[in-house]
Amino acid sequence: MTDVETLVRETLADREVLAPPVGGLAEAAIASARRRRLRRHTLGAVVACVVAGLLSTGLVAVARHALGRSPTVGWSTTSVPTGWQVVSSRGLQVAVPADWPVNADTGCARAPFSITRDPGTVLDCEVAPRRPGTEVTIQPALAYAERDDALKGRPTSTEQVSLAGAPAILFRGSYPDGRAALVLTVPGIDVQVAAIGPDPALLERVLQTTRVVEVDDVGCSRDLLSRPAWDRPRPGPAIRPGSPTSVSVCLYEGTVLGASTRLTGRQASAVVAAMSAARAGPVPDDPRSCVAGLSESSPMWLQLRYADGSEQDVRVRFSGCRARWMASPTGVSQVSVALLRATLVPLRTNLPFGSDLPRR
Amino acid sequence: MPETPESTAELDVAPVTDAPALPQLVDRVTDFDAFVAARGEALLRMATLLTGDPGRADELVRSALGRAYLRWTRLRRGDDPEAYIRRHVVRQHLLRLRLAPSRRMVVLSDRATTSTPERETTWALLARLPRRQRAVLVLRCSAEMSDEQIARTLGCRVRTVRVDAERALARLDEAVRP
Repeated sequence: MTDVETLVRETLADREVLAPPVGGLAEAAIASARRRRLRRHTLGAVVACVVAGLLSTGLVAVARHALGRSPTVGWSTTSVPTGWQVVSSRGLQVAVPADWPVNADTGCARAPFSITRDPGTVLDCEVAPRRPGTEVTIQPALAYAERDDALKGRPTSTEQVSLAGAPAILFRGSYPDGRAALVLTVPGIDVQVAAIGPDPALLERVLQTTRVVEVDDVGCSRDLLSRPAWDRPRPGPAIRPGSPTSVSVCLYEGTVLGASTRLTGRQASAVVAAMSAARAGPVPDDPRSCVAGLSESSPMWLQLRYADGSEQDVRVRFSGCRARWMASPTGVSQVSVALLRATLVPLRTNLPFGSDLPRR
Repeated sequence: MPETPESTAELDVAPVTDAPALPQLVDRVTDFDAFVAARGEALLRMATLLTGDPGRADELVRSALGRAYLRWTRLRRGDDPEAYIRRHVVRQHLLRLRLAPSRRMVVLSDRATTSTPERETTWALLARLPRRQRAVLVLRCSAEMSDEQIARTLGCRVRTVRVDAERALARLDEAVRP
């Protein structure tokens, strides 16, 4: 080994400390893979549409006759029944009856019916036995129902299905207490909707409303959009919300939509009031309350829609001890506890918040 | 502003398998997490030395891991998933591919280097080397790879690796010699 090679080795060893930490790398890589696969599926869907269009010109009859069999059978999806509510998270959207509470499961006092979406804190209850209610959960595809010990040794089945073009896996099982479990997993986005309850027909009806969406019914995109140029701290002017007819609230978990809702009426007015009362500029940083290693959360994205069809986007940064503001293309205001209350409470994320943010 | 799309340059990628069954998916995620926990640091280190830029290194490694994740089951059946990822990192760097900006919060290390003026000079000189010559030195002197392994990683002949190494060391020798 030459002297200069030794010097190179020492220099490189010396600079290894510049490497970024490995924490969060796997999650970021998986998110990158999901986006790549989603783009490929979208392209595949476009190609499929073109092919379908060509086939419909008359070739289909010839092809079917020649093949003597029908096209691939998919999971039959239905439109949202009247009186049902739509809940979306992580790119999956599912409908349940309107009177089912969202994220209301505390483990101990379970509602007869409930829909839970991640993020949501659900405490497990060691004392009271779990009531055999009906629960539907949208969650990362890591918490598979089939890993449930209570399902071990029970008859189960798994089949590949097509969810409006997206490959999915349908798992069916049954618990010893008679409840059925239906879990629809979409590996392309690593998300699943799990339905558990005593009435398999109801579970099937719920799961048949499942959709893979890039933008959900309230207008929130599954992937967090890139940070716009106007989302930066500046002294003002303050945001002027005007009089929107509705406010869509999109809360992201990392770079993926965790929860969303559309506020109207008094709930939208509460958001507007909190926004109007906020002071111009960002909340001053408070280094004393910084916790080492705690990063800012992903922003919340609000979409204000007006009667004339126009819209105003507002990004809200509220976590941590620095970089806290809400910004729109025309202004920057302090994010306040009042605004968080007006948005997070109806969102029912069960997210606790407490900091030195101004009250209004 | 829309995110910069990741390039789809022609690299030796294996075809993506169809949607895996549920148990395999669980195993894949768990196994992938374990792999990144075990080897992610070494990959980031190599990419940092390759690029001299921790942010760029993070993007390269994340992108390569993302590709690997899509075909993880197949890679695991093979011998060395790390070689596949390393190859992507190096070749994407050499091809100067544009990648999507990292969405991961990268906290730069505040650990001080134990540098000397001589090492500072060498580091600066390494930055001025042609990319492939620098890559050869990083893979040989830091990743401790053989010339054969480097050749497979770069997609060139062993002879080319040796010539690149000799030229790079000669250039550095000439520059640092008093």
